[in-house]
Amino acid sequence: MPSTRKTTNNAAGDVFTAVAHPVRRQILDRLALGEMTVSMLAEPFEITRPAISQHLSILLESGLVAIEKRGREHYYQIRPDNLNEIYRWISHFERLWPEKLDDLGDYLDKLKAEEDAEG
Amino acid sequence: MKRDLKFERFYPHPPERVWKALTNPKALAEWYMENDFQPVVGHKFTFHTDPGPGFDGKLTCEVTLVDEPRQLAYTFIGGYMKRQTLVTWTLVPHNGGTLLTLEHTGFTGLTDVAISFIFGYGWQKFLRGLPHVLDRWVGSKF
Repeated sequence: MPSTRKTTNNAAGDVFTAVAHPVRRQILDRLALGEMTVSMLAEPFEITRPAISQHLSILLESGLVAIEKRGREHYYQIRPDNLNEIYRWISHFERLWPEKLDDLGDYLDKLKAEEDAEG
Repeated sequence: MKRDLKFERFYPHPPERVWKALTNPKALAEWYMENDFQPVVGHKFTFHTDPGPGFDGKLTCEVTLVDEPRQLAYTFIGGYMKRQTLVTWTLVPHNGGTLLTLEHTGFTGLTDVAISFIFGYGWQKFLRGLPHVLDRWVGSKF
């Protein structure tokens, strides 16, 4: 099934891959300052323009970056929603586990009380 | 840098009782999540928990290790996490009770860097640098 860019929700796996490369993180850092054309974006990097474009295409696939066309220029913009969702997903477990371990303690106490009552 | 979740707790209960709480489906349903768990390696099962943002509450799992009453592990996949993660419970007898370690690891093998980026300074910086973008995109989405 072809992936659709519109549903940001489906791209999380790709988001991890996207941010795993240092150059792509630097691109995101730069885009965080504001939208840029590819030549503005490429300025501080010592790698070739095609290499930058390849990193950009991975970022586009992940949904973390989008292009807006205005006149003859293409502006790259950051879309933080996907990263935000991943952060929420992991922080869900950071909150969940300590709660569950508390619940386990309560449950063990209850189990012991039941065993004592039976025995 | 690796970013795994690890928690340790001491319970004043013998490992056998803790093991029962971790492996009996009825017990699990009481304190943990609704499930069709069986402590059998290769058993595929589902945990149902509260839905969260970007998460329907359903976790698809498979038992990978059963060493009664010492260690239990299953894989875990659901929500946005497209890759499998691994949950490992380790029980060590200690002072008449049990020292229980819960490890939730492998938040994507490729993505140790990504995790540290999200949790560490990168994420902070990302958020700080982004208020105008966030206003625009988050504001338009919700």
